[in-house]
Amino acid sequence: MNRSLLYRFLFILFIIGFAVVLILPTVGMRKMEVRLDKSITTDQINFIKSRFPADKYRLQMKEDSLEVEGYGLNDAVMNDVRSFPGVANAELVKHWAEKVRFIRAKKINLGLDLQGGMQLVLMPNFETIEKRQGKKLSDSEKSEMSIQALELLRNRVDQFGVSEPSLRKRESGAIEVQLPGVKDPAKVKKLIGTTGRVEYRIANDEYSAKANEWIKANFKEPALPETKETQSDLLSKVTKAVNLPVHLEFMFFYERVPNSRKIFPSHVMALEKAVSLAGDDINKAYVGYDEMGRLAVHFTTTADGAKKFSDATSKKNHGKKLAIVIDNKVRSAPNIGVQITTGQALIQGDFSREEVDTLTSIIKEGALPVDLEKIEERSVGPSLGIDSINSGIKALMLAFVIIVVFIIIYYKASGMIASLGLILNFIFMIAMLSWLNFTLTMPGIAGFVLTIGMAVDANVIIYERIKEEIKAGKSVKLAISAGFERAFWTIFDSNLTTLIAAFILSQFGTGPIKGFAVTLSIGILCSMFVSLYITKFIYEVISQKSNLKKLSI
Amino acid sequence: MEKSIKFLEYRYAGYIITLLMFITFVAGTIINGGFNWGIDFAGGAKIIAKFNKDVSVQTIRAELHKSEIKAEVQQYGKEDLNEYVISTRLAPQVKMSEFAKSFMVKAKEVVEAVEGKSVIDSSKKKEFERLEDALTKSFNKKIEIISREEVGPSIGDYLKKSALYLLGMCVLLMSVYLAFRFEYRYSIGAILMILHDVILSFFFCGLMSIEINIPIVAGILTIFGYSVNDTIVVYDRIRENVQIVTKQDFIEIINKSITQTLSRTILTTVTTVMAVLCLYFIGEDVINDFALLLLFGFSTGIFSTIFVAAPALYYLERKRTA
Repeated sequence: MNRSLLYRFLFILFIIGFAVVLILPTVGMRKMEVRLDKSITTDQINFIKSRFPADKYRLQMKEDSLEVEGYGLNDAVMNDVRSFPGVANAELVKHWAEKVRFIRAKKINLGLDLQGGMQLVLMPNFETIEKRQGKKLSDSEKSEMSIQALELLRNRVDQFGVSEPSLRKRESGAIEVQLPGVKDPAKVKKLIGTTGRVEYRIANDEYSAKANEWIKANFKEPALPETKETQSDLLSKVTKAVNLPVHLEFMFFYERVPNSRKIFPSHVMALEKAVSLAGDDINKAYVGYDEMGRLAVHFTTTADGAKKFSDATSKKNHGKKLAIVIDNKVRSAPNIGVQITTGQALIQGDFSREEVDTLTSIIKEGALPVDLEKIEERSVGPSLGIDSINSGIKALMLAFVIIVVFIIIYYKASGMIASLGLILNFIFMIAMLSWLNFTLTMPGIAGFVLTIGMAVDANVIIYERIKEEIKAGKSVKLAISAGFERAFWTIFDSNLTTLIAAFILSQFGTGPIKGFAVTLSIGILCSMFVSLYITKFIYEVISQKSNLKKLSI
Repeated sequence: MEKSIKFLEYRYAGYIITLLMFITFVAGTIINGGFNWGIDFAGGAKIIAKFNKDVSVQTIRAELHKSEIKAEVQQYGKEDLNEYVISTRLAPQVKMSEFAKSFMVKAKEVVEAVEGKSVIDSSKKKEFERLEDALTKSFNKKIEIISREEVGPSIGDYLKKSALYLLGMCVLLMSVYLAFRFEYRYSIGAILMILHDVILSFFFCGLMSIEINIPIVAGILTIFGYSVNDTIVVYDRIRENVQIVTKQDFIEIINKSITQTLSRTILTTVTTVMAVLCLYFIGEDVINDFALLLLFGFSTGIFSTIFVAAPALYYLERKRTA
């Protein structure tokens, strides 16, 4: 083996090793922690245990949880277990490969159709707003309104207790909400259809400070609770502990995770129960600058609002905070400095562009609530998803075995090399899909199966070419190099056009199709890499043999 | 020198087959009452429900009929599972929310009727909210809703339009690429072939009453990519052979090229078809239709390469040299 071949060999080994580590969180053995209700019955425990037979899974009973270890534990299984009676929560324990920062391996993302969950497409009802305002809305106004509505929804989705909600804007102002593993679709719909309530209330710093001190001393969890029940539980405890006067109440202040769409409760704030200013007392809000040139939110109130606002900012409140509350979450609390009687004001601070935009959206949303109409709804139970995954894996395995047998019979030793390529193709595809954070859907699994069929194509083109060259009287070595060389452009051109089709398919709005297109594209790219680089390398090594007379092909 | 099969001499037979397929497929589609648009495109609701008691497609359908709901009922999965797909398509004017409400009310009536309870008085319909709550409860006990889909009419229109738009974009981009890599004549041949395959696949869905949903559109685009793939392999060989022997008759070159690539075409198709068959026999209902369509499409892909793309190239070449 000469030096350049050796380097290539090492490179290939490295790539394969890397890919294998990447797919471990998806195909490897994993652990899942099932947290149990305190009131769980023996029957319910046995039911959970029967779901994980002892010959395939290792079960370990802990104080208030059950640890399951085995293969095939994924989000779909996790969501399914979560819906079992007596189960408080289930969580996949991170695989060691997911913890190594340099590798950044992830488990494969499953689409809603595979892991179960709910997808809603909502459309702001522009007609009622047009009626209310007495004018037609321009396209840019519409799109701005759906961004406002999106901000409002983001504020709410965390109540559903799903781990990775996704919200995005779709065509012509529609909003797509994806809630994987959601337990109670009816509750979701109820919460999502209604409009948001924005209020402005005076905060009480004294009690806010007391409450946060108490929490620091008595609440030992690393983060504040995020579900409604646990939150009100904590708040009622705090209320008792600090003897909160009746005219005040506690709420959580929410901050945004930097560079992300997520919000989380960061501390508790005491607010007057009396509403100083309602959301629709504000007339308009826009992003501007303050006298120091920093980003600021400008807003003007209605005539009614101006009076209320003047009261709220009167001397007795100076030095206090005016909390902007949406759906019982405090999202901002600027200090009141001067009395404003004109109804024109601005909120200043060291805001980033993102913060200013969010705040403006919230204020606007309060000024002009948008009704959301549901135009699409899909929900899939996790058990259906598990079935789909299982039958997909079965189809995949069967297709793989049949094709391998076929090409080995047809191409003999070369068929084995092609089969090896097929296995590598598999590994690379899963690795790419999980590494690049793509989502696997049911059509995606179909794409996967299809790709194995097609992945052989590149090898077939090369082998047939080599055979032809041998028939034409070339020596084996020359035939191999000519075969690869000539097949290259054929493979390139034919795959590129399929890639074009797949790319365009991926532009198609809906999730499952995107999943299919992405799987297909990745499959094509992987098969090109395997056949034109790795298989070629193997044949070059074979060609090194000086007395090569015959090729098993 | 290897002997080449005289494919192009049979091209007229090929045209007749294409024509016959087209006529049968279109006729079949018309007999079936047009395309079977799924709820993705037509809008509507679809639920997969698991009944605790033994019910049949007929009883469900009859009960739905009583409450004036036009619905398709199909067995889902294995027989003893008692799982059914119930889908209704939206009448164009009905507003989604109203439809959903009345659907839920009617669905409850059906459930209770099937379970042997009294049918709810339709005058109570206005109390849908109370009913909906009650419904979720009774559903949980008597019926398990495994999956639920609802698509509004505006989405369907949007999807139809964008599907067409995408198809157009696909054809355009691909022919630009081919014109760039080959010559414009090759790309004309390829476009003809694409149209042939896409139109036939589409009417194949009509003939077989395959419900046209988004996965089916993906299937058609896959067929499209696959047959272009196939055509390019042949075209690539034609181009190569033209460069090697300039004097040979063009028909002869085409025949030779198809023959040379024939073993590859057959082998690749065999492996791909094997994979699709696995999907067909193991996959779920949706995937089943998808696999059936692909089976048809892949075989048409070979046919159209030989009898559409290749003759087209021949005619264009003859026109140029004449």
